Amino acid sequence: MTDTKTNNSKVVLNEFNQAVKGVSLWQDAWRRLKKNRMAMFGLWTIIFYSLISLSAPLLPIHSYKQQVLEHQFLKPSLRPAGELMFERQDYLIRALAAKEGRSELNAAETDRLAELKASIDTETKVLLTGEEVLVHYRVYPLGTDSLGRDLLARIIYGGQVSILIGLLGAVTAVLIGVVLGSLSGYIGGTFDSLMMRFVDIMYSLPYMLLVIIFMAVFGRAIQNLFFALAIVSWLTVARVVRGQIISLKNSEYVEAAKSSGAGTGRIVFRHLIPNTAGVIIVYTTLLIPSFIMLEAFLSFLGLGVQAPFASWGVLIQDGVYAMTTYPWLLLFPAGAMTLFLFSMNFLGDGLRDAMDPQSKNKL
Amino acid sequence: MNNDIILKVDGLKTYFNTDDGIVKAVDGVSFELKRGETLGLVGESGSGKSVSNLSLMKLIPSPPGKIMAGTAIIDGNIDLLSLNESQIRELRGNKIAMIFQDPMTSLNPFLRISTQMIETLVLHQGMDKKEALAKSIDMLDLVGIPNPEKRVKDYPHQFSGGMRQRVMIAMALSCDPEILIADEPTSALDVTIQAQILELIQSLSKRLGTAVIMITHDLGVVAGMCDTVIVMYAGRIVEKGTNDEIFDSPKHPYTKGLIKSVPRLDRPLAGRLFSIEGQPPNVIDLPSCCPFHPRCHKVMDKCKNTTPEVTKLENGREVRCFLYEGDK
Amino acid sequence: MSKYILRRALGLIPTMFIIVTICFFFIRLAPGGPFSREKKIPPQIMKNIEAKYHLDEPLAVQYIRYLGDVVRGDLGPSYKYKDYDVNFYIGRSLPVSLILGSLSLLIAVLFGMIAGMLSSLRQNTWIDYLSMSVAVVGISVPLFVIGPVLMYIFAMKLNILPVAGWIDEKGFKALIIPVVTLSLPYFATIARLSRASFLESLRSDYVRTAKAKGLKTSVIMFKHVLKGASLPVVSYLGPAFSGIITGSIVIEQIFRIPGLGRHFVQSAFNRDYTMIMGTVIVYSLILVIMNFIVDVVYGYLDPRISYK
Repeated sequence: MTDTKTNNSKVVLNEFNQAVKGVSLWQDAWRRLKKNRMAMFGLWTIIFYSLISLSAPLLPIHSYKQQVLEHQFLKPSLRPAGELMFERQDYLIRALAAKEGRSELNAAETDRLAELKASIDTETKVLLTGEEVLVHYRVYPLGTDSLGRDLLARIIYGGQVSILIGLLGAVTAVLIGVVLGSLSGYIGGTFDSLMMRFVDIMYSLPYMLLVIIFMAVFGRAIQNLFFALAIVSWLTVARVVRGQIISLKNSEYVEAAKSSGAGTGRIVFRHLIPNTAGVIIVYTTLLIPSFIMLEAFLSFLGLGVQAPFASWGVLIQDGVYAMTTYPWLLLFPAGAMTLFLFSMNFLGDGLRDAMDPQSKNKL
Repeated sequence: MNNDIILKVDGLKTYFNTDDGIVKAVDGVSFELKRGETLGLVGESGSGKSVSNLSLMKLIPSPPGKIMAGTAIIDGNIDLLSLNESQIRELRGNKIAMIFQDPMTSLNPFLRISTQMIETLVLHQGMDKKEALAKSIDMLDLVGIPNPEKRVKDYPHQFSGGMRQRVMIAMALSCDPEILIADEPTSALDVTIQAQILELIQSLSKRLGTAVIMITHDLGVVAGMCDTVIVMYAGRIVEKGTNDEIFDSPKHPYTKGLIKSVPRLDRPLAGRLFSIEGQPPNVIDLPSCCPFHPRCHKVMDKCKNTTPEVTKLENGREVRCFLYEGDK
Repeated sequence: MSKYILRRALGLIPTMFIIVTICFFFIRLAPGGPFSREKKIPPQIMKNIEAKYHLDEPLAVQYIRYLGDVVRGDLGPSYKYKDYDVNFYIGRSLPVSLILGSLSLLIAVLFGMIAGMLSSLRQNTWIDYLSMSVAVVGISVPLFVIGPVLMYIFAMKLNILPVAGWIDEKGFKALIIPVVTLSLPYFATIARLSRASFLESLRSDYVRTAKAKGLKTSVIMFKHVLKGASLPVVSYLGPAFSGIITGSIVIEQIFRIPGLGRHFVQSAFNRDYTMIMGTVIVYSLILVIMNFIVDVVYGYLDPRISYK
């Protein structure tokens, strides 16, 4: 039944004209994954996010650090900033007039509005990139923040930072975890028990607190953040990989390989690693969102990425303080981040179900 | 017509809906069980023997499984398959009891033996807990558990495999069922323990007058203890007869093959042991043909495109093969 | 069993010792002394300050002194606040955090288990889909998004719950949004975890035996399935408590709740080292005790665990 030799080129039929399927582990996993609609949705969303992040410098968006102070807190719109500014000014002046009981504007006010209108059409500004543009014709589809920066650009560039931290963090944690976990599982003995004792103690430490102290004490640079997160996140991976290696080491087919004379290298590379790969891939996918969350958590406390860089966490923190009057500052970054986390989790779950259908530790 | 017959199964069909298509796990199975009789149900894995019996108890996981057709009349008047959930619950463990293949996993590891035994007795026999405990201890004694007063308080993991199967038997027989379904009760046990357990089932069923349906893939088990034997293949019964008939003069080529493939110590060994070539078919979308034909060495052209019907022979013997069409 | 519990309890002491040691030296690694921000203190005064806090002694002596103090339950003076010592601030804020944390965990476990059980029994029905969708939201949406959004809807727009604050000023209504927010991720994980383990138990051989004995679904669920299925949830409680502690820091920040978490973040920014160590030690102690309780409960639930 579970013949792992594949012959996908031609379909073999048995005596009853029934197709005899030989499917490899990976083909089987891919087939199951393709059936899982949420996981596929996740996969496509992640591909979309990755493309946007990678091509951010090429996209026709504004700079994420360009401040235009006159443009602060503009609401999301596809119309040019100047129009929105004019409307806001117009509204304010009329409100003032109404308060004073006048239905008509006085000359000074009309002049001010006309002056504004003229400056909108003509005023130029030299941007950080060095080019000079008609600044009030800029369009901010998702609005602007308190310093007049384009929210769309900040979300995209913030996403770049967040995804990068997630990816790098997960890969580092997985590397450390896999190396230490498999060594611990394969060598066993004193090394293993010391290792696991250490992991146990680390588990009973509230390690996020240590990360917070670390960031507060050693400064809030991105590399510190990255380092602090990576040193505490390999614990679970190490534990899982160790368990996997131990159970594989004692499995019958490894014993069979040993008894037919396979060397350590062959056992490790042909049997142990390929059979652990599934678990490792699943954990990497599930670690990425948790790293993004941790980074956002630290940024939210003011211990994360520093200006002018942004990350989703930083944007959300800004958004929370402004949400009463300018809700889009919270909703758009939160939405962008949530959608990504959703997709990552769906994909991770889907991968786990696909690669290990009998998994006992399904979350 | 005959009140000796306590269970009459007719045209039972159980299908499973899977991603690849409809699996016809049981496709038209009919048989009768007499009071006190031991009926052996033999077949390879996947031949539908367990599923037919789980269907009788309505224990098929549904979805994906579904009982499509058939009746199973118990005591001449109750159709098990048309009972609703609460009605069938009254019968389960009471009139029909079941023991399973793996005694390691069939007992709840988190509950004491006493808890698990008492609950059945309280439920079906209306005993109070004290009476039920006394009865449980009696039953454990009956199945040969030493020191039952003490052991009844233990957890399943404190028993060995054979002892656990004894506990299962004690539990199954505690309510004096009319029918005991034993689903491969010895497959997971050591060979030496197997014989003891089979003997225990046989002697207890004789003493208590319980009819036994013994499901097994091991012909040795059948030969030793069954009165009647049914051979199943790909969801259908291919041959039915008394123990002596089946072993002395098997009719169906499959039965013949099965018997030939058992090593015999009482006859001189003639070269290599016989084995049936090939694999049993996948029962999804089986075309109309004899499902055994690719492995049959008496295959005829007819076998490849027509499904053989049951041929009834003398003494209630049945065989599903074109070779015997003329022998009615 | 009681021997096992005693031995596990004694095992907590070295763990706490290691934690205190790590904290002490980790903090000492930090660049810049605690008073370096107060610029241009005359050397004599600086010396006095250092003598007052025993900072002039060799590191080993400081360490021994600190260990002795901790054993006696004295977490030392605060470097930042001169009026009271660390014990005072922790004693004042700890109950607040304990109420917030344990209430959230309780709600998460209770509703998570119920949701998991219902979903497993009614697999692929609207109950299953609903609770699993809520669970996915709980897992994917960070606390600091859910909290402000709930605050925006229920406190600012609908005006039915207080915006921020604690029960001493706003009454028990003030608990609702913080507790719901904090429990949501753990509700989500527990619901998914218990759904999977209930399903696994329901498919197990021993449940088939129980069904073959004619037991009712409710009896099977509560007598045969619940115990085994709750094991993964019990072993998740340790990590959950650790997560609740971390989460409560954010929650206390958002809802301006005067708990231990706010003190912790404050002291981290202030480099108030004794206060930082004090809070970390208290948090670790809670966590270690929780893990101990979880172990004992696990051993009680699973008879197969041997107490060797």
